[in-house]
Amino acid sequence: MMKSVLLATLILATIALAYTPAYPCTYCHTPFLKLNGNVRKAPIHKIDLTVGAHAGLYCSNCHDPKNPMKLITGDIVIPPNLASEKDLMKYNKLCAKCHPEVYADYLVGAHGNSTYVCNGGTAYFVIGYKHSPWWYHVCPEYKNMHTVPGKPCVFCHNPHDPIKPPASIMPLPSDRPAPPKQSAIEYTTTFLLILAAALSIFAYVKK
Amino acid sequence: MVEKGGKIRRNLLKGIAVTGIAGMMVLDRNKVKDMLKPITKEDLEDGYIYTINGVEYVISAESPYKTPEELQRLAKEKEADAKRRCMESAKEICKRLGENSPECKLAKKHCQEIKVKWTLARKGVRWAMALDLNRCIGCRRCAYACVQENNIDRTQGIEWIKVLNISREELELIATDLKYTDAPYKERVYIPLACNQCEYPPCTMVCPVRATWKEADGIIVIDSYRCIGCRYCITACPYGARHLNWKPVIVDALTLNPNMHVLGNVPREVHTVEKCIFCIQRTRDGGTTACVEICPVGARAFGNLHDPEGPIMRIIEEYGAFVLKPNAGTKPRFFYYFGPARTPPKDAVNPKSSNWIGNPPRPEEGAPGPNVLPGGEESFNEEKKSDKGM
Ligand code: SF4
Repeated sequence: MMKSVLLATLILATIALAYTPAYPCTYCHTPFLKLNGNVRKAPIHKIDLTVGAHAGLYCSNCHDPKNPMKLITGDIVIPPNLASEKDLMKYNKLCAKCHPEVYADYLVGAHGNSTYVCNGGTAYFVIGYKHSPWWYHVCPEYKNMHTVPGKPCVFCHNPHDPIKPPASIMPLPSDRPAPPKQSAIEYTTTFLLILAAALSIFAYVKK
Repeated sequence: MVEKGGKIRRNLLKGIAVTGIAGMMVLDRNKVKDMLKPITKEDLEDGYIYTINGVEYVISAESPYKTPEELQRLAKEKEADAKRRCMESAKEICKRLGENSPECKLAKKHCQEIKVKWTLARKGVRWAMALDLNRCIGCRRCAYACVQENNIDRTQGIEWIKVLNISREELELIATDLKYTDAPYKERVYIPLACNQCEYPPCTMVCPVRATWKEADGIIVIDSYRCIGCRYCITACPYGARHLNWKPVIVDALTLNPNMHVLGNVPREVHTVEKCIFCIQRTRDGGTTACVEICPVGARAFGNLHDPEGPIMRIIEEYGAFVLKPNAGTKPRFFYYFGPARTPPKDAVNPKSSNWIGNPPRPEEGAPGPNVLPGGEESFNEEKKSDKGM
C-alpha cells in the first residue's frame, strides 16, 4: 500500500515537473547545453515563429542564447503572471529596437493607450453601464494630473504573436424614446389653435 | 485758391515721400517684415487673460462669465446643487437597502467626494483629437465609458459618442448602420462620432441666450443654468452631436463620477442640451479623456494641436488626416486618419492569429504559391536542421 502511494506520487511529480514551464529558465538552459538560439519552433514553450506577425525571427533575436532568461537588452524575463506592470514596462525598449516609429508614437501618446495619474490617488477598474469597462479615478484634488502611457507593449501584444485580435463588441446603443404619434400631435395643435381663437374672440367681445 | 491748394498738396506729398525714404533708411528691416506679417485668427481672438500662480489663463470673450470670481461662484452653486441631488438619491438608496448596507455608506461617501472645479483654459492651448479608422473595431467601449465619466442620465438613451458603421469602399455617411451586432468586418469602417469641437461652431452662433460658447482652448461648452432648451443648436449642428435632456436628470449616487467641472459633467438640469466637452474635467488639469483611456486598440489620441511635440501634430505630419463634412465650413478639430496597421477584422481565415496580415497561411511543402514569404523555403529547411540539432 505504502509503496504504491509512493510510486504514484513519484509518477505524478515527474509528470508535473515535465509539464510545468520551468522557471528560472537556467533550470534547463544550463551553460553546458550549448544552444545558439537559431531556432524558430520551441514546442515545449508552445512557441512557433514560423507563423504570425513575427514569423521569420529567431529566438536569439530577442533572447540571449546563452541564458534565455535574459533579453538582449539585458533585462530579465519574468513570466507574465508573475510580473508587475513596472517590470513589463522595461521590455518596451526591446520592442523599440525594431519598431522605433511605433515607439515614438507610443511615447507622445499617438499610439492611443494613455491614462492619467494624480498625486495620492488611485484608479480602479469597474464594469458599469451596459457591462462596459471604465477606470474609476479617485484623487484627493483632481488637480495637477499627468497623462502617461497606460500599458506596456506586451500587455496587449503577445511578443511571440504580436497582432492583437479584436476585442468583443459591446451591446447596441440605446434608443431615444419614440416621439408621440403624428395624429396626436395634429389633434393637439388643432385643439390649441381653436382654443386660442375662441379666447381672442371672447376677449374682444367682452371689451 | 485752387493754385494754393495744389501747392499744399504737392508739398505734402513731397514730405510723405521724404519721410518714407528716411524711414526706410532708419528702420530695421526685420521690424518692417514683422509689421507686414498677416494677423492670424488666434491673434484677433480676444479674451481676458488672468495669471494665477504664474500660469496664464484665458477667459473667452464670448463667455458670459468674465472673471474667475464669477465662475468660482457658479461652481460653488453647482456643487451645492449636485451634492443636494446626490444626497437625495443616497437617501433613497438607504431607504431601499437599509441604513447599514454597504451601498448606503458608499453612496453617502460618493456624495461627499463631489468636487466641482472651475479650471480655466490655459493660454496657447487648442485641444484636438485624432482617431485611427484602421484600428477602430467599432466596439462602442468609448461610448459607454463616456456615459460613466460624464454623469449622463442612463434612462434617456443619451450617448454622446455614436459609432457609425459605413462601407469602406464608398465612405458614405448617409448609408450608416448604427445597430450592428458584430464587428469588425473587412469591408466596413467604424467611425465613432461625437462633438467635433469646431473652430467655427454653428451651434454657438444660434444660441439666443449665450448658454453655449467656445472657450479659449477651443472646447465648446454649455452652461446648463443658462440653457433654456430651445434646441436651436441641435438643428444647427451638422454632426448631430447635441442631445436634449427631455426629463429630469437622474443622479445616481452609486455610479456618480465625483470629478466634475462647472461647465462640463456636473449633473445637468431638465430641458437642457448637452454634448461632448472633451472631458474638460480631466483634460484641463492634465489628464486624458475617458474614451482615449478605455479604447482597447488605442485608436484615439488626444492632445494640444499647437504642441509640435504632441500626438496630434505627429499624427497629422506622419499619417495625414481628414475631417468629417469639410464642406460645412466648420473646421472641426476632430481628425480621422487611416493609420499604417489595421486591427485584424472578423472574417480573416484565422481570427485569433496574425496570419491574415500580409502573411497568409503557408502553402503545402513543395508547392510554393505566390504567397510565400521572401525566404520561405529557406526557413523551412533551417527549421528541420535546428530541430535535429536540438
Ligand atoms: S473604444 Fe476604440 S475601438 Fe472601440 S469603438 Fe471606440 S474608438 Fe473604436
